[in-house]
Parts: sequence; C-alpha cells; structure tokens
Amino acid sequence: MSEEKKLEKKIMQKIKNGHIKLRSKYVFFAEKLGLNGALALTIILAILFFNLFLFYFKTAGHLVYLSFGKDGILAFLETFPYLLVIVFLLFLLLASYLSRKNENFYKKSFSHLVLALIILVIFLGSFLTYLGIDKRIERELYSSRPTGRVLKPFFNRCLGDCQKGMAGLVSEVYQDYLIIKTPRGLQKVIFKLKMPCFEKIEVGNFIIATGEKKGNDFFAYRIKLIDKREIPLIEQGIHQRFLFEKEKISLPPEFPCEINHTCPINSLENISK
Amino acid sequence: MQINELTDEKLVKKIREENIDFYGLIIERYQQKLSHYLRKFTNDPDEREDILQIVFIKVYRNLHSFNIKKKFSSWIYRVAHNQGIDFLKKHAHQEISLESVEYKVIDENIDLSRDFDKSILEEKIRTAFNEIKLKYREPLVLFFFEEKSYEEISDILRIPQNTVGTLISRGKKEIKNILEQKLIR
Repeated sequence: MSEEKKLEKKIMQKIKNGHIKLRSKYVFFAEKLGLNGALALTIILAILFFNLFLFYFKTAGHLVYLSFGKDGILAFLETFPYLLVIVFLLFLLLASYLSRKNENFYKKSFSHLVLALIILVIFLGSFLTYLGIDKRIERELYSSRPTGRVLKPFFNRCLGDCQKGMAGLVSEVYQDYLIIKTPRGLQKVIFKLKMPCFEKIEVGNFIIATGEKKGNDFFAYRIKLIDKREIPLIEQGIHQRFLFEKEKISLPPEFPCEINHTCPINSLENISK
Repeated sequence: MQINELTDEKLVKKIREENIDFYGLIIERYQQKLSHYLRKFTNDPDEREDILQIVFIKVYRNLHSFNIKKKFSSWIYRVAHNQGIDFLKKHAHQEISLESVEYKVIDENIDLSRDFDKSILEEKIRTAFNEIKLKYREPLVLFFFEEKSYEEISDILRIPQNTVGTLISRGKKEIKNILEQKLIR
C-alpha cells in the first residue's frame, strides 16, 4: 500500500471508530455570534465614549480655559479627560482588531477599515450628542444608580476644582478673595490678578479662574465671569453637592471695594479713575 | 452525477449531511498538493506526514465552520498554512527545500543583471529564500510554487489582495538584492 493510501486509511479509521468527531454546527454558530456580538458591542462602546468626550467638553467648560492664554493651557491640560480618551481609543483599537478577525472584513485594507470605523464612531457619537443624550448622562452622573457609579471616575477628575484652574458659583465676595461653591465643596479664591478683572463679581455669579492652588486656597491670576449654561456639568454638580446643606450666603462686608488694582469689583472704573 | 465529479464544496456538503465516508475523497484530492506545500515548512517526510495528519483531522472536525459559498481549496490551504507556521515556531531553524522546477520559476521571475553559473545560482536562490522574511516568503511560495491567484492567497493568508501584490513585489525585490549581493561576493 502506498504511503498516501496509508495516511488516508489511518485518518478514515479514526473517523469511523468515532475517535474524531465533527464539531457541532451550533458551536460554530455560537462562536460567530460571539465574535460579531463583541465587534458590535465594542463599536457601540467606542461611540458612547466619543459621545461622553464631546459631552465633557461641551458641559464642563474646560475649553474656556484656553481663552486665558498660557495659564489657561496648563489648566486645560490638567482638566483634559485623558481617561475618557484612552478608553475611547482602546475600544477603537479593539474594534479594528475584531473586524480583522471577521470573515467579511479581512479582505479590506486595514487603513480603510480604521478610517471607516473612525468616521462611523465620530458621526454616530456626534449624532447622539445632537439627540440630547447629554441630559440623560448628566442626570445619571449625579445619581446613585449603577450607571452613575460607572461614569463618575471618568468625570470626577478635578471637576471645577483643580491645581491650575477653578470654576464655580460665587457664594461670598470679600475685598481680596471670594468663596465659591464647586462640586467638591466650598473653595477660597484669593486674588493675585496679573490682569485686572473688568467685570463686577457678585454673589450668584459663576466664575472661572486660572491660577495656582496652595494648600486649601486657590490663588487666582486671571478670572472671568461665565454663563452657567456654558458649564452645566459643574452647575449640576454644585446643585447636588449643596442640595441638602443649608445655604449660607453672606453679603460682602466692604462692598463696593476701595480703589485697589487687585480687586475684581468694578476694576475697569477704578483703573479709569 | 458521480461522486468523483462533485466540486469540493458540494462534496463537503455531502460529508456533513449524508456520509462521512466521502471524506476519504477529500484526503485523496489534497494529500499530494498539501504535502508539496508543506515542503516549504519542513524537509523531513515524517514530520510532514505528522503535520498533514493534523491538518486533515482539524479540517474534518471543523467542517461545519466552512462556508460552502467560498472556495474549499483556500480554506484547507489556510489550515495547512497555520499548521506549518505553528511547526516553524516550534522548530525555528528549519530550512526550506526547492525543486529544480521551482529554481527555474524563481530564475525566470527574478531579473538578475548578469548571467551566473546555474549550480551556484540554485544554491544561492535556496539560501536567499531562507533568508527573506516569512511575510514575504509566504505569498511568494503560494504564488510561484502553488500557483495560487491573488484572491486565493488573500483568502489563505487573510490579508487584502492589494497587500498580497505588495508583498510579492517586495519579496521579489528582496530576493534579487540578496542574490546579487551573494553572487558578487
């Protein structure tokens, strides 16, 4: 018997004896379903994380820091949602890898596949933002539900209260400093202004400032009034933080202040004098 | 229609749904082809037979995963290819062997700038083939020695067709460079 026939006989004998069996078609069906399901889930998560990234930029007001110049860049970098971006990129990479494993996509060029994925994720992520999914995320974020607990680590990174930047609701105004409410609590903001502030700061205003945190105090180099609609995430955080606390807002003792170039109140008028 | 006249894909359908005995025909059809292909992974006939046996067993066990709308030959070559790569990983210093007809194929396709002594050229071609990266060697072997089309190579190696063309062209260039360096020395 030839060598070729021997091998054929050996294998066929194992098959007929039942030593080698056909794997069930349902196993392959489940495998295929699992792979396609994982791919779909990864793409959905990438879209969701891109949406969260857009939501963060839109609602946490960190882009405003860039209008402060050099100091603002440091604050912007400090508040940049790195974790969100890293998780988004990881899901995008995983989706690219899984699509290569898919028998419908391996013939396509890898760069084209990644480009198509990026376009799909950006388009659908932006579409979700347009649909107003933000409001739901905002509600979930400050809820005690499991989704809120999952989302928090991605957003809580110095929300409104950082080493180089500060944002919050003015609670008390003094000649040389302010007390503001942030999602983390009350914060003393001491004026060390490099540029005079041209706006009148009053209790109930929302402010955004760049500077430096030393100990418990924040030394503000630049300060701006900001519309609360530009920072809804911080506004909501403050609302949640102080919901059950009795608001204690005292009027500033020396209001309006005397001529003082470091004073934020009516500074423009003071300078013109 | 006689069972022998059935296409591979129809035969697979029959094995899956009617009679497992027909699997012997698949072995008959592919044993020699795959054995030839596996020579590019090992020179040892016993090792080759072991790999071949594993390939046919894997193919049989996973027959339900084959999509009969696709080409069976590409699928079985892919299983053999993966098994060959596994073997190479375990035996890192395997040298591939080439047949005289294959030397001719390479000689015709690599446009060397000078004529060289045939026996020297054959030896150099063999060593050059062993020296090029595996990612170039795989499509070159399938294209020149197994006479597979770009589409089939794309299915076997699971890479886009454009990439197959690029790898073959770069592989040829690399072999040419190695040969010219070796032959000038």
